[in-house]
Amino acid sequence: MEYVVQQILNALSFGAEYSLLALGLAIVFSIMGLVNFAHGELVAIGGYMMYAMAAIAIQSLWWILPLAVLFTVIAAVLLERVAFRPVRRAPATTGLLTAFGVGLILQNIFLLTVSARPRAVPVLGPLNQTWSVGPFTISSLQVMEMLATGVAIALLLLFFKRTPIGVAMRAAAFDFATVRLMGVRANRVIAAAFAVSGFLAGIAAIFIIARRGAVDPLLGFNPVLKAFVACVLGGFGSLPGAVVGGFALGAIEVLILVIMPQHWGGLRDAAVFGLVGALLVWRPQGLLGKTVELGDKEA
Amino acid sequence: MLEVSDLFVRYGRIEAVRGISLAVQKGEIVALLGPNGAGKTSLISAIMGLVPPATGTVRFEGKDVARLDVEDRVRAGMTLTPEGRHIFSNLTVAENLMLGAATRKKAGETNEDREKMLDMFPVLRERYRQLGGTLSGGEQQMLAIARSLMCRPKLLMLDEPSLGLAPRIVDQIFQLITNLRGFGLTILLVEQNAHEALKFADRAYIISTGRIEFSGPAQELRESKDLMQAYLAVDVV
Repeated sequence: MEYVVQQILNALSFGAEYSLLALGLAIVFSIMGLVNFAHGELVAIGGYMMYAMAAIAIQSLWWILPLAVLFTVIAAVLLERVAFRPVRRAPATTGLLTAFGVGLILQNIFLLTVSARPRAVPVLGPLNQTWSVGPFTISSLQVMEMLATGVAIALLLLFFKRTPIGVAMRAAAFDFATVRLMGVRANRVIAAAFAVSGFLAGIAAIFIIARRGAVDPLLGFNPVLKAFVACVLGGFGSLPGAVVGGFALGAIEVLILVIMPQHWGGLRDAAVFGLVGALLVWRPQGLLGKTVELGDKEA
Repeated sequence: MLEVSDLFVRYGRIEAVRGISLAVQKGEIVALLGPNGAGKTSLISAIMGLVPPATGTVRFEGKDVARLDVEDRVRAGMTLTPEGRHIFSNLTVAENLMLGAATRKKAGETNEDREKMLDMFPVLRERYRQLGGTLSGGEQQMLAIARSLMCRPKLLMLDEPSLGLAPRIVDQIFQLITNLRGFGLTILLVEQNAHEALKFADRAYIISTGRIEFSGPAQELRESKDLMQAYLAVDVV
């Protein structure tokens, strides 16, 4: 019983992490058709910010956590301003290559200015405790990760429903040209999309660092690769799809770990991607994606 | 209020607009008529800034706006209800109207205007919480016009508001446009339905293959059998 509960918690916390990152990718993609492969480097920036704050003797989590998220938001907005805005009118492949380029440059900046090796960030240790709830012992980090993801998704829903810029973002995902015809500035909508994706990346960075206890230049690369798979699994560009895809991927991973013999552990990712591939053969548009036939008027 | 001079629009090697000059005075309703493919939509898209003009100037209230982004032209007081309506079908009627007022700051005034729109288009009040995509073509056209009016434009440009609508709905739409005159609006109307448009326009231009072929009072055009038949394929009895 305890084993089952633990595995369910594992699946949900993996899923929460993938969902946060997948949502960030999906929001930017839905508005400007850009797959931001530099998203992982935003996570790393959040991580290095926490490392830097700890290094200059800021120890209180009440300072470190909000500031890390804030810095990640600022970094995301700057990234758009400096790297993506100049190529906005270029073909989609240019944006994609720009994202890869930006990611590589940032990884190398971390490598040159900090170190290629992981740097310990022990200040987040207090987040990672063991709680006893009745007969079960559970990880505080996993519970907080799920709660934080739930709160972030709720805030996002409110933002998209209630604020003018949120409504404009939903409209822009549908028909950007007409949003501009309403007098809404294109730059503001896109900057807002990056800010939101940075916010989600910042939250993800907190939990990734708290689990690993260290930051390295490739901190965000693998999680974002998984988040990309989650997006594809859920239906690319769909925000509910990103969440569903994230949690589905988390569940599949844990399921495969449970089923496979221990000494095959190295095959985990291969098995996960194989299964996702099989799912996509069955539903090529993803779990929540809409089928768009060539020649359909509305996407 | 609006002065366009010697405007060219090119798509690659194709010239859609070839040296058009026109003017719209404050308070006027001006109709832009002509057959399919004459360059009417290209012309007002260029006036609005949706397509870049190759050469020529666009002045609005005396200021050169030819280099401004669409957003800034809207802020200057121009607006366009595009052909095909372009309703946000994933948003509710309420949200569509809210976006129309995106350039406005004062919530009180915006709410007042929204009430005015809902009085003017009662069907939108009935559909207020529905998604734009669930509306009929006529209702979407009304929503598109109401959404354009939410930014309190000085100049309203309408691109083919009657396109694809049933005759009964077309009458209703044109009646509404006539009523807008009371709001002190200046209107530039693009239409293929010359017969209807000339009923209430003050002046008209006929465009064919990217050039102006006629300009003058609507009255004069209505009475000119030759022009009506030559360019507008209207049977004059």
